[in-house]
Amino acid sequence: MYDMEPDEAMNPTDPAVGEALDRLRRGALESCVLCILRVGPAYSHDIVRTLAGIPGLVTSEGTVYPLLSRLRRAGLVQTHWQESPSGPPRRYYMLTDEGARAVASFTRAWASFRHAVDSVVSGAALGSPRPAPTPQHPLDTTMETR
Amino acid sequence: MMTDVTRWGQAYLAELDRASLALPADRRAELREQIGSHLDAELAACASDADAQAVLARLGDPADLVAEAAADLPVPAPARPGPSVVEVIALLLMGLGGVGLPLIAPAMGVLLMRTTPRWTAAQVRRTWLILGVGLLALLAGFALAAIPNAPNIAIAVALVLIFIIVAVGPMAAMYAATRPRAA
Repeated sequence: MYDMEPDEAMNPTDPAVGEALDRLRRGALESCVLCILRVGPAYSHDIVRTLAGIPGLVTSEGTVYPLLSRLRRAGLVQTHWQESPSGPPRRYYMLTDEGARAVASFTRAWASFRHAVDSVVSGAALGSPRPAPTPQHPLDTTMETR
Repeated sequence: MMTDVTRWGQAYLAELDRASLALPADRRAELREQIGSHLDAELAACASDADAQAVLARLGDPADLVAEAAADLPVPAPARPGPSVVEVIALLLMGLGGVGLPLIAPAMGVLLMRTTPRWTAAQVRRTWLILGVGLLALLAGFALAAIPNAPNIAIAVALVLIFIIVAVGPMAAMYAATRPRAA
């Protein structure tokens, strides 16, 4: 997977890679939405368009809306209606204080998590495997076999 | 052309309405409002049926949206089976039977309790203990009757003992009926 071009990795033809991505997406998408709202309130449709514009992040745009509702119920975002220059009023989402704290925590956690997974996936962490414990003295062996 | 494009949106929303029937009303209404507003914005920019179909494809299957909206709903607890006939008879023997045929009918009720998985062994033991109090009262009554020329107070004590003998049956029934069902 590390040899793939980024686009290929994000839109995999291999179903197994697709499943792995699905699992990762589900966990990270909520935090991605919170990160988008860090810069200020956003119209729900614009949030969806932003996420959809990033390859590999969202499989179906519609599932972002229930996710937004869930974040609101969890008290991480709040909504307000705002008049639209064209058409009906629009629902805008913004971070609550709790949501801002969640973004800060996620940002720190993600950095260390990404580093940890990178090191395992690339094999760097496995470069010098710990040698299996070997008896240091013939006596140890006889002790163990007793 | 515009009306054709809107028709795609209406068909999608109708399918969403059908798929979301099981959602709580507030979630269903919110999802409907969000998707309706999304379609209004997206379809307004569509020039052809193909564009509209692409919008719906990106939006996803309505069933997936509903599944996502229901993702954090508590899983409904599996329905508990109602009390079985044996359980009801056991409780009746202890409760009503305890008044008509004190101690004997309740003892039969407790024997029945042991035959159903409704009660744990410990609960059955505790029910026996309640009936044991009645048995002690009965023995005390015999002892009282054996006293020659009993004083007047003995009548009052005898009444209390009779009350205890009769009451332990319904008390045992009440205890058994209010215990949580054994897992």
